[in-house]
Amino acid sequence: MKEKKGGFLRWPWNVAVYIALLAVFRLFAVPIILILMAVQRKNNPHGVEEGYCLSRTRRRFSWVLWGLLWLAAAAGLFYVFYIGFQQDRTYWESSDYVTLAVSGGGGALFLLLGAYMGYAGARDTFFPEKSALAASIRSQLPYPEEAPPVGELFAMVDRDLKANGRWFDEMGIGREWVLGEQANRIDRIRGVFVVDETRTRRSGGRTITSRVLQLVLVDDRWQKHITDFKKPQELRAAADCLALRVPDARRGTNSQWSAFWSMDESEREAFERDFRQKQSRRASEAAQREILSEGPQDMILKRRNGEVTSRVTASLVEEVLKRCLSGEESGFELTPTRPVEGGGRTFRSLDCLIRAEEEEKILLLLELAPSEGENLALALTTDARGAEKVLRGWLRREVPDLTGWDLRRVYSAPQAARPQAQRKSQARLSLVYASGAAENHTTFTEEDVQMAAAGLVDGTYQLVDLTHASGYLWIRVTAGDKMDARCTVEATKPEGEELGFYMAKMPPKEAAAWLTGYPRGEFLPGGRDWKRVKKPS
Amino acid sequence: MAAVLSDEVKQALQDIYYNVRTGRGKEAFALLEKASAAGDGDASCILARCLCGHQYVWGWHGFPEDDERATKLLHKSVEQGSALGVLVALRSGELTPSVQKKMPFESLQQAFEQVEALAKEGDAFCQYIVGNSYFWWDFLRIQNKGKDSFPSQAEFKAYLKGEISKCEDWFWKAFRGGIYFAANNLNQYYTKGDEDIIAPQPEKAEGLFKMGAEMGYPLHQYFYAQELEEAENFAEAARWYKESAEAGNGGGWYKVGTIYFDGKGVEQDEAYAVSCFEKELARDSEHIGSNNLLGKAYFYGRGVPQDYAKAYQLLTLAHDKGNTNWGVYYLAKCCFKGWGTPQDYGKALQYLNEMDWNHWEKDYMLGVIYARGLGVAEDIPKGVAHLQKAASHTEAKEELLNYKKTLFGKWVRRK
Repeated sequence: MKEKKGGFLRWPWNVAVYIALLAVFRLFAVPIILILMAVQRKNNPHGVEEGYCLSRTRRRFSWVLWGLLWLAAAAGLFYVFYIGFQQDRTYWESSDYVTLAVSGGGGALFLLLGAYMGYAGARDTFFPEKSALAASIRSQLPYPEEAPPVGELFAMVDRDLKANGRWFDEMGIGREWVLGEQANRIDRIRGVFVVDETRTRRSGGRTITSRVLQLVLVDDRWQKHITDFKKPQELRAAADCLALRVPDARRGTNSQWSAFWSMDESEREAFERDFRQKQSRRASEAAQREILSEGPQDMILKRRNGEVTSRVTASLVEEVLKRCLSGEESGFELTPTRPVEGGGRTFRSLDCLIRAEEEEKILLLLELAPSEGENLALALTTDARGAEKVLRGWLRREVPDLTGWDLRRVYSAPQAARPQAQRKSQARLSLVYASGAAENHTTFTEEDVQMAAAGLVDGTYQLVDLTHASGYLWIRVTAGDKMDARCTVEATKPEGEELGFYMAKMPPKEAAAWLTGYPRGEFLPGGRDWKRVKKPS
Repeated sequence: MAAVLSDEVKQALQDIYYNVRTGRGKEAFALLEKASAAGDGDASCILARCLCGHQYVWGWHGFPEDDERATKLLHKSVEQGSALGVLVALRSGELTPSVQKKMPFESLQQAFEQVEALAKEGDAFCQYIVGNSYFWWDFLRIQNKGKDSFPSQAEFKAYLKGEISKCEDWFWKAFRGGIYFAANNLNQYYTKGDEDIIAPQPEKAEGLFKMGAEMGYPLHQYFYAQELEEAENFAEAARWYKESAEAGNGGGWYKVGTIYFDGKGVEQDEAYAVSCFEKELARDSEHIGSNNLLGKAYFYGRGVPQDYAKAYQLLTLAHDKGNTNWGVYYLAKCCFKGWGTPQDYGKALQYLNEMDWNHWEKDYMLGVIYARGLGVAEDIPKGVAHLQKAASHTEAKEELLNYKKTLFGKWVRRK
């Protein structure tokens, strides 16, 4: 039976299908089963749909199969033992006695192993209330003997993992519970130990090495729970996660856990005392922070005078509302820091306006989160009592009963653009007198330019330098000297993207005409008498 | 200009320059406007300076800044025959050929002599203007001299040195007479000298602002307090900042607040610091530093009950008006967490991008935004890279646990 949602097979159909496939396709069923298992894992990670805990206990079904396998092996060995035992041992060699002993001993061992695995597997799979996982959850409760039925126990852990769980290999860590091979309450954890060891053993003349990756958790009742990991990085991440959850727990690696676990009673007591002290210090610091902030500050009250606060209480809102009703204020706005959802809509703020035309009447505007550039709001005109009721609920992030509210379009004033800095004129008139004295002007008139031009002719100035307000049109006239009475005129001319620099020699009167005509755009350099230069002198 | 300053101008100089503590700056301004309209060229000249900002007049009289009007007034004062106006126009580059033509003086020298005569009679403002004519080399234009007027460069330099150094005496007189600006120029004269003509004498500059502070100039009290603060004499600095603030000097209360807020050299008093920031904001509601620090106080609940909405409002104002990124960390955090403002990851990201300094929380917030795709397209590797930078902090560690590296080295969300 295949579920529509997610596409995975529920227990016990998954097992039934695997067995059926094996029966039909024998060995060839293995890749199909592996694919099916991968799909199962993808669509129902960690058994979320059936419950993490139940899924974990049912996985012990594989122990039943292993148990059966061991029992079958035990039966075979016992058969060998029985045959050997029935034989005449007169001519037996020592190897025959060894065979008899091994088959008898091995058979007994396999029988015990098979029986245990079969029993444990069947117990966990078919009787979850008796499972090791359920026992471990019970052992974490304050009064294990008063533990609720297994369904509730598992639901408790599942809820936490579903809401807050993070998974590291097969270990799930929630806010309150850790689900590994067994379950641990996080606040009971006192030791988190990472075992990452390479173990070596010799068998049949061969050296076999294996890497052991385990997370050992020790709780305040000094019980240890060990969970195996496949990937070392997942093991470390799980340990880091638990270290964040229980920062005061002892951390360690490899064999350190056994030293911690085997502490004597007085050492355990001392550790526990120290742990609790650190824990209470943290709690008091957190409480201190809570006192400082005096609440979550998740609502913003904005008054019409621009005053804002996030320290919003029901009494403050009531007071502001009263001020509004008495005419001292005209309204206010209550904006939650996260939109409030209700009735299939998302609301971003509640405006409270006093209707000037109707005494004692209050207009409430419940603004919806903008969609497609449209601002909509639900409006209700009510009296003080009605408004108070809505406001009190809104403070608790509750959407009021929307019966009687009308949908309206809200127009918000466009935001004023930031004033741009006025571009400063780059006009500049520099005058150098015949004496060498100089002056610069950034504000001047055309009359000043004309006077400067006249000054060049009558010898008052030896240099006039003029930059047009646009900043790139520039002209400079330098008076002649005893050797050459002609003036030197330098000027720019826009040439596409670039600015060309030109120079010419001319009599003072002509230079003066250029000085006055150039800013008006009457003349542009570049004619026959002009020489293009790279840059001004 | 009349041979003497009019009573209106004298009164205005008193309230605008010599004794700013009278608090009658605005009345003096109105008085000048009236006198200017009545044809008093000196009034037009002083009025023009009042419109040119804090480099020409104490910045906290609250006068408007209007360069265009100031230029017109200066031209008017020249036309009205104010010798002061001529020198001030010359100094400000407003004595263009056409304006100069309209002045009722035969030469600039004549105007200068008239102002000099008043300076000699003891008028501090005229002393300052005369000092400026020497300090800023205006004497060259006044005397119509240049390097071509001298047979050699050495003689020209000797002439310059002799003239420029005359400013020192005039500035001292003006300073003692009530023009604190004169000490600013003296300070420059002593510390920087003048090209290779006047050698710096920094030792003479020492104590100038202290003297001004003791003489009661609010701006010098502020400058002196800055010197003390740099010397880490915070308690004394706070005293002078407070003096200047009480006289209405802008920034004073803010500075007192900064010292008490962090308890630098004084007993920390956050509540008092907050009251100082509030006083500064009562004077200028857009004071950037005060908005920022008061915002910080509300953000952490230091000296005031914690209030994220107030913090966000103040810090936003400082950020937008002051074009500063000082408070972007707090603003980003408010937007990221939804503290005092509706939660908005896009805005938080904008503020974080303005942060040009490293902070682990910046990386943490960027990490969360990118890895979870909050307000931006999800980019787990980028988010993880940011989170790893902040990995020594619990929050980042916690967030990093939500992601894992696949066999092929790709970061994915942990299921």
